Amino acid sequence: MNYKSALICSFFILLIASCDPLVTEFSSKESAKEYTAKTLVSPPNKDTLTVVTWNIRFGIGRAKWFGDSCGDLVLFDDETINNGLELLAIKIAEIDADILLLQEVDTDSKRSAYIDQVQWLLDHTSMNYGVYGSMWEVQFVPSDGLGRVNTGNAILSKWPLSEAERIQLSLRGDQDALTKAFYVRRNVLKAVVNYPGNPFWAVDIHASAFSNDDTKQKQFLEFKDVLDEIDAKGELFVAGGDLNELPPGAEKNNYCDQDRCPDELPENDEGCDFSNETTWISPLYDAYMPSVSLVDYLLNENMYFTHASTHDDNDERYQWNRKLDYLFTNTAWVSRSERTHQEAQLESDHVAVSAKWVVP
Amino acid sequence: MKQVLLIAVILSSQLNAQDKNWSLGTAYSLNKGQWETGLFQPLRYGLSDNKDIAVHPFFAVIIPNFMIKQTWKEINNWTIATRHSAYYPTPLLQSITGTGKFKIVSGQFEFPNLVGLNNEMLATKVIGSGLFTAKAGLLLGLGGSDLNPLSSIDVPLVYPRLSVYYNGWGLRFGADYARSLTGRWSGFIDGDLFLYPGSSYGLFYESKILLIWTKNQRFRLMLGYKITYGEYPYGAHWQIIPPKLPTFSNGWPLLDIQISW
Repeated sequence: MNYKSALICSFFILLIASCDPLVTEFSSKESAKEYTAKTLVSPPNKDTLTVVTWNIRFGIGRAKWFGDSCGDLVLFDDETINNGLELLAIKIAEIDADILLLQEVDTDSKRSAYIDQVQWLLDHTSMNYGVYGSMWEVQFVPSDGLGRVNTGNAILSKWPLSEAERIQLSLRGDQDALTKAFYVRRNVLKAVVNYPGNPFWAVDIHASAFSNDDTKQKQFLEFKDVLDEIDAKGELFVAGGDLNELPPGAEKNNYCDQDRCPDELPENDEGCDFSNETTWISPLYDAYMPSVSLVDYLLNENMYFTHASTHDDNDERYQWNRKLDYLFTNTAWVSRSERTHQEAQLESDHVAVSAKWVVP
Repeated sequence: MKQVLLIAVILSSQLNAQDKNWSLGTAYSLNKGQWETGLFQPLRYGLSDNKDIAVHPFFAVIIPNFMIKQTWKEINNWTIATRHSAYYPTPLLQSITGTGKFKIVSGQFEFPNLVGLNNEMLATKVIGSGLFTAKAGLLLGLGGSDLNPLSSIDVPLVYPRLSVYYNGWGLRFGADYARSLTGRWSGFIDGDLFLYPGSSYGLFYESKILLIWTKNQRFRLMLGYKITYGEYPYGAHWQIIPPKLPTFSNGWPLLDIQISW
């Protein structure tokens, strides 16, 4: 091939191949990324499993991050992240989790020192297998110095996982085109847990946090569709995640005054007023079994709060002040087994919620 | 907007072409009194037939810069030149640091006064019906000893060029080849290697391929792609530039024009 042909050929190959995206736009359904622990640990021989949902806030604990706590920190070094992950691993061991439904897990983000947190947690806990579905994969976020981000949902299990799938949820409908292009793409992550003789599904969701339109309602219905499909086939699931929604009937449903940062105006409030959303997760409660019934929840709401809106321990808002994290199944949870681990104050801005589930 | 400026500054040193007339990247200097510039090109002026100077006028306020090239002599049909350039990137870096949209560096960090000095040797020879240029250079980054490693901008093109301030020094080697294809069309291909000895992320390679349409000795248009490889804080990474942008279809090439008078 002469120089002319080689050059023209190379040019057109590059033209066709120049598809490395600045922002990853996911298809409606696609395979999830699979992980295995560096060293496998024999799974326990038991039929009552502890299922946990936890938004781990990418390992920064209660640090004053700019994005959600009126903080001024954006990036964290590897020492800070490793310390945060250590805290998480200790708590996971203490809870004796068998199935972990995690949200805000970073795998390749500048803000968390590019540590692959799915692999880290597998290698530092008794979990053996993991699957990951990104909700935000951007080579470079041109805002606030965030830079490269890859964060999302992960399911970790002591037993092998298969048929892992990432299911795209509706995008926010209340953003300008440029912001939307670079913004988070929420998803539901599901996988079969290959428990010997009785495989079942684990389903993980992280719904929109800051939308002011009906985005979350659409996402809850899409989440329910995933659960309905499993249920209709006569298969079993444990499901959960950070719904960014209050339980139906919650006494307080507007947190805007509490969440607003000193330099923010009320007209810029996002995701803090739940007053028009009081029934949005009712279909989930109606169709499936929550780890905490609404009756129990309403008897003592404080006991089940899973989120706090600031991370300054001198501030009264440091304490957990709303429930956003949930577990559901299409069978039953062990009665009174639900634990909202409010004692874990430093690990994240969300509380781990666990419940025991008997493999039928 | 500032991010676009940063990319433009980088691209401006990339899309150079290689004709006797369009001689930014070669060992040749402009003729005395000749001017040349382009969309992503510096403004060049021939001080004499073997010496030219260049500045990026649009970016001079945010990244003061200056370049001088001296063509020395011909040895065994190789034309030899040295090129020296100086940059003061601090105003640009400070302008893209902070909170909000288009702030590329977190407000956690501050940039001190930084000065970049590039000193290169270029050797150009006619090979076949094309022009081959080899380059070797020493890069010096002054004032960056207290830079926080987290303040780096971890993207192709930018990271390799700012690494010099974090590492203090580096080396750059490159080779270009340009020749006519047919009619008004010519082609250009190059490769550049950046090395930062002692750094954890010390190897970067860039190669570009351009198709050039020359209207006359005063105007030409270039389009093409660049492929980059590098060891970044997040790992080794290949990237074709331009990348696919959200909502845009694949395949948009780099585009530049050059004019001379």
